[in-house]
Amino acid sequence: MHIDRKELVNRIAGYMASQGYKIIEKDFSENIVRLVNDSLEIVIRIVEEDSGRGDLLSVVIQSAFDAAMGKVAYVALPLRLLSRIGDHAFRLHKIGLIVYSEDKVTELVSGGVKIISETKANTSIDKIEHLEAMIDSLSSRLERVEESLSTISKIEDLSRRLEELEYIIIKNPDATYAKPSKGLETHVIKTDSLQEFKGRKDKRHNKDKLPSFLTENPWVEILSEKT
Amino acid sequence: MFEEDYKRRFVFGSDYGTSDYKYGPITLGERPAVIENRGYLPERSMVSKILGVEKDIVVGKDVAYFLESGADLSSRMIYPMRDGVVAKSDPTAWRVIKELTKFSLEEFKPSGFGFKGYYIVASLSAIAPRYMYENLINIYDEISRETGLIHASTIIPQPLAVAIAHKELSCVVVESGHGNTQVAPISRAPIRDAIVALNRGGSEANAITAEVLKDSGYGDLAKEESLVRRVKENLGLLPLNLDEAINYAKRNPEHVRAIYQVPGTRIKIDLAEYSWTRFLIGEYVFDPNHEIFQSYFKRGMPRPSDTRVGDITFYGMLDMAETIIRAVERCPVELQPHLYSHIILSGGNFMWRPVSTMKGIAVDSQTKLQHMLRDKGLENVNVRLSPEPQYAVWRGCIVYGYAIPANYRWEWEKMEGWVYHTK
Repeated sequence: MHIDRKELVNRIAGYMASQGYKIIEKDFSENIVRLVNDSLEIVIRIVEEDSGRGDLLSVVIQSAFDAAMGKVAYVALPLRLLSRIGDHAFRLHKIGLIVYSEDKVTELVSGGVKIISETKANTSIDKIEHLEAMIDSLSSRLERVEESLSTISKIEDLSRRLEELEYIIIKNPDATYAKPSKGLETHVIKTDSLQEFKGRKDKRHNKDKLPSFLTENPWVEILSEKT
Repeated sequence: MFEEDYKRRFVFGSDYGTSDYKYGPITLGERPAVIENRGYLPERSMVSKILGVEKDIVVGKDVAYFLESGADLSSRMIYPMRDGVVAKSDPTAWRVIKELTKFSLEEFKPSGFGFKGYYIVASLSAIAPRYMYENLINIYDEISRETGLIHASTIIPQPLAVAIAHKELSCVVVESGHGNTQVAPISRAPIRDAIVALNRGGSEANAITAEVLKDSGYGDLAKEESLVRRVKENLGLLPLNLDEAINYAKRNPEHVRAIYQVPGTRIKIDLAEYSWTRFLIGEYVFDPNHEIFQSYFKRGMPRPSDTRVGDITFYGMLDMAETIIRAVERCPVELQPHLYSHIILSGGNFMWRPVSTMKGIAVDSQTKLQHMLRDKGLENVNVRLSPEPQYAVWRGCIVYGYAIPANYRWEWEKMEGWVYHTK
């Protein structure tokens, strides 16, 4: 089955409207429907039929954030995904669950308002923000480490092959050599590859694309030593 | 470690110039955003209410939309800074500073999670009194509480920011902006006792430009400050030698004649036979002592006078070269040759363009100053102009914020370090 995105959003919005909710916004690019009922704000995040595991996880996490902020959060899933993940977690954490198929839309789990004390909520949000900053930082460092490892691995391979070549030449200094073997040929260091390597190294140092007035500035060292 | 990474991503520069406010985060790259350092107090009219624009103070580009008749400008347009200083007892001026800061931060408010406020580095004139630091920090505190856009702040003197931007550990920074000129020797830190200030800046060049406009028959236009400034920037020239330049202009009037059309209007300014006065505009900034300026003083143009702000004297009539010499001679003797060979000119008031058809007649600032210093007997002098002088202070702020450790806390004795506004 394939339901067009716009049609899907409209169907889910229409279903909730028929339950007495007032539609505030239909976001076709983000697959979100926002509604109100009395003073409560309802946010429905829709998972499309062809979504992967990552998309589903992302939608669920965002719904959890919606719930933590005092909104009534819903996830709308295609029927085929329900059989894989079940509805227990949604009931447990009071996140509403709507299931849709080609011809039907059903509310399986009602969304509820999660009441967290303000202090606790603020503390949680502070911690989350701190964790986010840490994760971002770790993520960028991990990328750099992965790049370095990949480069080191290539260098080791090239080094081994050079040693093999040296061994061959030392053993037979007077021999004329045919074209390198196919395997060796593909690993000959080309000048532009070196440049590429250098460029990558520079790029790593300038990964954040620092402006020119910051790079190689002697004041950076002097100022960073202030205590 | 994480805090350092965060700080380096979210450092924000804030250069409060008398004329322009330059601002923006490190992610802007080479250049900051720029708006005029002014605010407008709109009339609370029915029309304003109908249009839904209930604002006490308007800043930024929106000011142009709120301008009513020219007669309103003088009372409703607020320029909070004069000579690099905001008056202590002027709450409206401080409100404008706050609105400008809020406006600038909101323009660059990041979306998404993880943002807890910028590390803002502000820059003030080297002679800014302590209350300006206190008031600015209080403003940042308020903004932090109201919007969450400031996590920590610090304030540095403008000459230090310029030295940092130019990667010079020891040098003389000559910062000339709208309100005044500061000559500040730097040797890994400002040498505070050696600072010499001039009570002359771009506003003096504006004043002589206004007189030139009046003499040329454009007296009505001379009242609009922003127009006078544009005329100065487009028609003003800096002579290597004023007498020679005037003689040249009188012998070759068509070479010196220029017509300026104000963009987006029908206003055309042609100085015609007064075109030689273009050289007065630049000369007045560097040396107001030439006898030709006496007639202007007699006619009522204010003569720059010596004033005192705190323990700093602002000299009115000292020429630019003499000012630099006085500052350098207050430094250790062994440092002086190095300082003379590393003079950096910064600030919008040094943006004088040489004219290729008037080589040796109309010059740029570094040529002029080098010539003046050599005339006073100094040989190994090297003067360079900041490539983009109006951005140097902001760049220095960014480097400073990037490098200063997050755990370096503010101390009033040193006037350095971070003030934290949130936990």
